[in-house]
Amino acid sequence: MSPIDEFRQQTRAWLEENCPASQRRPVVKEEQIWAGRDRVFATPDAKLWFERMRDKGWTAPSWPTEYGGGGLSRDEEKVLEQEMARLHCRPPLYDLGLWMLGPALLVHGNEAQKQEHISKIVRGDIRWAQGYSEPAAGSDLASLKTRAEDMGDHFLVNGTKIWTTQADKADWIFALVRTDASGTKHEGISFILIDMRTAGVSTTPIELISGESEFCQTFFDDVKVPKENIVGGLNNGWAVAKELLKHERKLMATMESIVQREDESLVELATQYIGMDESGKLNDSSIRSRITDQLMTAEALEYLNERLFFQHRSKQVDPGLPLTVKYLGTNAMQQKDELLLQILGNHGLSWQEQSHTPREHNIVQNWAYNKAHTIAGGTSEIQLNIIAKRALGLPA
Amino acid sequence: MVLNEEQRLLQSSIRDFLNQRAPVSALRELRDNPTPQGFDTSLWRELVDLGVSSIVLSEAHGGFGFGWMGLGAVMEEIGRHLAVTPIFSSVVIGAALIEAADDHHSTEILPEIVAGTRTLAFACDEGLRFNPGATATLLNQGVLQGEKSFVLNGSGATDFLVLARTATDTKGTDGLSLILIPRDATGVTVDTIHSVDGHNFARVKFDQVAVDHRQFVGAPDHAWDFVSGVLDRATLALAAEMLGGARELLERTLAYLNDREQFDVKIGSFQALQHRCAQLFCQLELAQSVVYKGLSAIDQGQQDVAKLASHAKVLAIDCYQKMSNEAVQMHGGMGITDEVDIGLFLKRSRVCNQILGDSSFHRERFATLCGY
Repeated sequence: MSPIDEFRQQTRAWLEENCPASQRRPVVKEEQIWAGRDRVFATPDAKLWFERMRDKGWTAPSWPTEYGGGGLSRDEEKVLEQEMARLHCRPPLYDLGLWMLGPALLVHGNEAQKQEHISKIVRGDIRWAQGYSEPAAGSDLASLKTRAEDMGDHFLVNGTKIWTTQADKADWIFALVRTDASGTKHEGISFILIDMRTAGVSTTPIELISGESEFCQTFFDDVKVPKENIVGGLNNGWAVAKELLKHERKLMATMESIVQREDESLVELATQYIGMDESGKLNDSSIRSRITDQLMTAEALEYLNERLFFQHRSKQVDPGLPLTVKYLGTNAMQQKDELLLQILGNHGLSWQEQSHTPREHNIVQNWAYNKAHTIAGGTSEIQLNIIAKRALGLPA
Repeated sequence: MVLNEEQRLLQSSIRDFLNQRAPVSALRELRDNPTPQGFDTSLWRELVDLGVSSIVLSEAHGGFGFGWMGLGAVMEEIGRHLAVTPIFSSVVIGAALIEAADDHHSTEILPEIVAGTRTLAFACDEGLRFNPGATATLLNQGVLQGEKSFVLNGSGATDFLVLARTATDTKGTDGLSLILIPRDATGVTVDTIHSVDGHNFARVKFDQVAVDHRQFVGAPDHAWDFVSGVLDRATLALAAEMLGGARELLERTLAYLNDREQFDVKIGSFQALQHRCAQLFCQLELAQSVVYKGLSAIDQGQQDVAKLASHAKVLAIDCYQKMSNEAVQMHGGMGITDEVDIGLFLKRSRVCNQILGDSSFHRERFATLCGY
């Protein structure tokens, strides 16, 4: 048996042994295991599952073992993902630090920063928020104005960040701040880590069209930040931000599998709500045809990701290919949401939780919430700009 | 899902060869001065010498182990150059059918196909579009009667592989047989059609054609058992060709946008055009991923690629059609002239749409295979 097959066998056995049955069902929002100082577990099983995965370093399977990660190779990580998918294991940990900050810190952080932050991320001890956008700096992110003034022994941060995901529940925030206003707007930006317990940090939730308040506005009023909290060097924040954005976009393209509360099957839902004729075809030919469109796009996206994986492995990456993933993935997600809503008919119209089944309510809420995905992390239009210039070589 | 070193070398040698020997101008030449065979026989001879006529066959039958990913790479180049060759009809379908049938024809005629001295054409479609389940051409008591409406490369074929109904009380794809009929057999009439894309197809009539049992390819009445798998693989190869054409169009269009100036700037600097190009690129890579998935599934020994074949064909159709329409539009007035090549790709895309099943056929098939 090849080493990778052996790894698969061991992984499968370990997961079967260690993943509680209750953690093998699609995760509902209330039972997601979010990192944090005040981490709470919805059930004892959730706690058990998290702790077992954490202790193997499999909350961050491919990160180096010296910082508590799993130390798996790319191939082994893929096997773990496949085996977890096979058993429908829930993600053992949710955190922006895990998805975004960690990978960027591993590249740009200094040793002390890695020692300080990476293992806490792996262990789910700290919940991170992201401070990028500002009310006047959205797509034009580099025009950001929140400033960090050098006060000799510390920085003094003043300004405001918006769309800070769940900042009201976060312990720390990684943010882009202006440390030098003299050069071009891309210069003079630094990447900084701020403990949200520091005096002068406050957050206000923003109510969304989904009825939830996933996003906040975060304010910084004379917030003192230690100088060693700059990552990647003073005025070099744009490079760190770009590294991190890559992870964010990859994440958002596959959001459905990671964060989506429940992966709805179109065919199953349509069979239930629309029904089939005696020959086994859905009763609504137009919806049937649109399901074909959607399945073809969604499955093609899986193959595109698989192709990317093989390109990485054989070190022949088409530089343009990864740039397509966020644009395609988020569009496909919204296309599916629209279709799910249409299948529900008037059951998709109620705004009162109690007059829906939980499943119906979930579909409606996701439909509205997922409008965020083609906006956050670089709008679809920005993605197309990037593709046009970097992949296709069209002039600025 | 990535070409290996040998496959990449194969692709670049075929590309160099076609750049030299069969650029798009060769298609124009053939269109304006058609040959009786419908293709340039010396070009085909040279391609045979390069080994493409055995590419899909097992090594026992002269294949080189390039696999279907390797074939896909060759087909992509054919699509990029709009090269007219019998590779698809005679090799990807014809030789593959003979090999899959695994009977006396494998030793008798396969070597001649590989040598390029015999070219096959698959005679399947009868009405306006591909629908093998509706085959009405009938072989009854040794006599073949019927008419085939869209026989690709029928013009130059030495033999036809005819899909015919042999069990009269059957419906759909049950009760079909595959029969090898020489072009010069008594009762065969070949009506050559020059198609819109500069290629050719034929309408072939079989009137009281005498058939003996040695002309059956594979088991009588059960041909669909092996024909369908061959056609699925061929459909993936065709999709690879189509995406080669689409990719060539994207590159040509980008070159034009980087060159053409209006309002004192390169028109490629306009966001309206940039976004459309970026969307076309996304669509192309999505379709390409399905084609690679299908081709590599065959190479990994997956027996049933029906769903992937239909999936790939639909996305290839949508992509090539959109790409060719947009390429014409973005070339402005030049796009609608015969002077530039864009219109040739536009026309080729619509012909490819019809080969081995159009979008409706494959969307329906995908849905059925997925159980809704």
